[in-house]
Amino acid sequence: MSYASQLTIAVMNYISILGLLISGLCSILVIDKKRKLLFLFLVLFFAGVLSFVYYSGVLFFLIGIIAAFFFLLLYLFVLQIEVFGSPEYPEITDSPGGLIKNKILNIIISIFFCAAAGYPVYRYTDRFLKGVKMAEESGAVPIVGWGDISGQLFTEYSLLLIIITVSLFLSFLWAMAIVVRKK
Amino acid sequence: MSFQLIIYANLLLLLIGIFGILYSKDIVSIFVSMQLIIISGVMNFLVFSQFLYQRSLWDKIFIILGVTIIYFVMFCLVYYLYLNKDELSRETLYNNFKFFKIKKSDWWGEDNI
Amino acid sequence: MNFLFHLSERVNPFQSIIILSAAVLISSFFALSKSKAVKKFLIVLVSISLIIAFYLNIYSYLSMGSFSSFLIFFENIQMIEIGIIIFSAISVLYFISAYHVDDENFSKILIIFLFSVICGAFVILSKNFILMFVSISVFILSIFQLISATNSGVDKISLHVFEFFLRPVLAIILFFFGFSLLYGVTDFKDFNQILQSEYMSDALVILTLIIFGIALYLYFFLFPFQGPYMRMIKKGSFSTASVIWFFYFPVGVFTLINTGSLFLFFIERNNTFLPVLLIIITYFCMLAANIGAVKTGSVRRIMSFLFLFFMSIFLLNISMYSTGIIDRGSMDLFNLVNIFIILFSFMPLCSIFNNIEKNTGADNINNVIGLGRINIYAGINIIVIFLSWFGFLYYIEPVRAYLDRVDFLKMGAASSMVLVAMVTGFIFFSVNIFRILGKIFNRPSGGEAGKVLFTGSLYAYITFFSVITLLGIVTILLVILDIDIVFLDFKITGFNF
Repeated sequence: MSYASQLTIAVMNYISILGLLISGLCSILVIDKKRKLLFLFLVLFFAGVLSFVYYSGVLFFLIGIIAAFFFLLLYLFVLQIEVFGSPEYPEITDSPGGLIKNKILNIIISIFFCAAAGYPVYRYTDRFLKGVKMAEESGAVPIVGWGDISGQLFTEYSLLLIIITVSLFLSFLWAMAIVVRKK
Repeated sequence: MSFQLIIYANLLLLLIGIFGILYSKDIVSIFVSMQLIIISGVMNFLVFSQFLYQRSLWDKIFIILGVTIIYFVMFCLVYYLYLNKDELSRETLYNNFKFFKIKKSDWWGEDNI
Repeated sequence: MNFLFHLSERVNPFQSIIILSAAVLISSFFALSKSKAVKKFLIVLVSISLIIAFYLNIYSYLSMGSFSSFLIFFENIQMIEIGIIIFSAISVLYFISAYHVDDENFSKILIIFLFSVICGAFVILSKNFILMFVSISVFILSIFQLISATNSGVDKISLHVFEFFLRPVLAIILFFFGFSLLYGVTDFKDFNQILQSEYMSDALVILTLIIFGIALYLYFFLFPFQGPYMRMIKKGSFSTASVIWFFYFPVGVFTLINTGSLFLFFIERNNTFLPVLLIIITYFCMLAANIGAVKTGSVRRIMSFLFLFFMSIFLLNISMYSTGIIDRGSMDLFNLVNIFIILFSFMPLCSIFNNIEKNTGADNINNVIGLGRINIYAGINIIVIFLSWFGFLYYIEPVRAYLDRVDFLKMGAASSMVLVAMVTGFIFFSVNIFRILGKIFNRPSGGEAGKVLFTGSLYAYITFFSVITLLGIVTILLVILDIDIVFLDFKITGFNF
C-alpha cells in the first residue's frame, strides 16, 4: 500500500474517532431530543466510516440498515410526543435554587460512578496493552467480503439464523396481540 | 495508526455511554447511551481483528448476529413504547425517567401504584 | 420403531427442542383463532408436547450419553437443567391457562410461551459464545413479549414492564461489550477452552468477568436495583410472577452455574478481595429482603422480597465456598437443592395467594387471616410447603464440621462474617415464615378468608407439590438416620448426583 493511502486511512481514522467521541458526548449533554438524535446519527455515520477504515465496510451495509430502522422508529416516537403530546413540564422543587442543586448533584454523582467504573477499566486495559502481541503485518491488506462471511454463517451458524428468523415471525404475532387490545 | 490510542478511545466511549445512562432523565437519552456502548463494543471487535488477528471472520459474524438481535430487542421495546396510549407514563418516560431510581417503597412499606 | 430410534440418533440432543418446535408450528396455524374449542386443543397440545419433551430430554441422555459439538454441549447437568425448565414450563402453562384462557390473544400467548421454553433450552445447551449471546438475547425478547402480551389488558402497567425489561437489555449490551474484550485476549470460542488455557489470568479476562458480574447483577435485580422488579410483580397480572419466578430467574441461575467456573477460578486462587465483597453483598441482600418482607402488608411484595432472599442464598453458597466452609461439590449440591426448594415451594404458594387475591379482590396479608382454620386441607398443605423452607437446616452439618476442623477463636474474619450473615439472615427469614403462618392459622376475623374458594384443579396442583415435598423430607430423614429402604430394586437413599 502506498504511503499516501496509509496516511489517508490514518487521518480518516483519527478524525472519525474524534468525531465519534465529540458526537457521543454532545448526544448525551444536549437537551433537545431532536438534536440528540441528530448527534446520534453522526455517531452512527462516524462508526460507519471507521468500519471502512478497518477494512470491514461490508458490515456498514448490513448493520447500517438495521440501525437505520431503529433510528427511524426512535425519531417517529420523538416526533409523536412533540407534535401530539403536551409540552415539557418543569420540575417541581421546593426552592428556586433546588433545581440547579439537583442538576449539579446529578452530574457529580454520575461522574463519580463513571470514575469508579473507569479506574479498573483503565488499570486492566493498561496492563493488557503492556503485554499484548500484535499480529505480523503481511504485505497484503486483508479485506473480508460478504462471500466469506456468508459461507461461514450459513454452514456453521445456520441454527442461529433459524432462531432469529423464528423470533421475527413470532414478533409479528406479538405485535398483533398488543395492537388488537389497544383498539 | 496507534492501537493503544484506539483502545483507549473505545473505552472512553464506553464510559460516555455509562455516564449517559446514569445522568439521563429521559428514555431517548438512555437509548442513545446504549447505542454508544454497542458501538464501543463493535469498534473493539474490529480493532482487535485488524491488529491482533489478520483476516478473522468470527468477529464479523458475532457483530452481525449480535447487533442484529440487540437492535431487534430495542426495536420491540421502542415499538411497545410507541403503542403506549397512557399519557402519564409517556410523559414520565419522555421527561422524568431515571434509569437507576431508588424509592423508599422499593425497600420498605407499601407501594401505592 | 427402528426408524424413530435412528431419527432420534441423528437429531441428538435436540429431540425435546424439535418436539416443542413442532408444537409451535402446529399452534401457529391456529394463531388467529378465538374459538374456545381451539384454545382447549392448544392447551392439550402444549401440555403433551412439554411432557414428551421432558421424557425425551432424559431418554436422550440415558440412551446416547453426553454430546459435545462446536456450538453446544449436553451433559448430565444440562439434562437436569433442561428438565427443570420444562417442568417449570408445565407449571407456568397452568398459570397462563388459568388466568388468560378467556383472552382473545390466548393462542398467540401460548405460541410465544413455547418459543421462550425453546430459547431457555438453547441458553442452557450453548457452549459457543455466539450461540450463548444470541440465545440469551432471544430468550429475554420472548419473555418480554410474553409478559407484555399477558399484561395487555392491565391498566397502567406499560411503564413498569418497560422499566423492568430495560435492565436485562442493558445486561445483554454489557455482555456484548464483555465478549468484545474477551476477543482481544484470545480467539477461543467457549469458556472451557479459556479456563484451561494460559489466558485465564490475563487482565482483559478479569475486566470481562467484572463486566459480566455487573450484567448478571442487573439481570437478577439484586439490591439496590430491585425497584422495577417489585413494581412489575405488584402491578402485573396473575401469571406475570410465575413467568418471572419460574422462567426468567432459573434460566439466569443456570447461566451463572454454567459460567461459574470462571468466577470460581479467581476465588480458588485465594483472592482476599472477592470473598469479602461477596459476603458484604450477600449480607446486604439477605437482610434487605427479609426486612422489606416484614415491613409490608402486600402478599405480592412479601413473596417478591422472599424470592430475592432465595436468590441471595446462591451468593451465600458461593461465599461459604470462598471461605472454605464448604467444598465445591457441596456448593453445587446446595445450589441445586435451593432451586428445587424455590420451585417446589413458590409454585403452590403463588397459586394459593393468587386465588386468595382473586376471590377477595385485594392484595393484603390480612385477607389470609384464619384461612388455615376455615379450610383445613389447604392449611395442612401450606404447612407442608413451608416445612420445605426449613430445609435450610441442612447448613447445620457442614458448619458443624467446619467448626470441628477450625478453632473458633482462630477463625478468619471472612469466615466469621459468613457465619454471622447466615445466622442473622435465617433468623429474619424464620420471623417472616412464622408471621405468614401466624396469620393463616389465627382466628378468622372480617370474613375475608371465608370468601376464598379453592377449585378442584387448584387442590390437585397444591397436593402434588405437598406430596413431593413430603417425599423429599422423608428421604432426607432416612439419609440422616442412615436407614436404607429398597423399593423394587431401587434404593431410595442411593441416588447420587
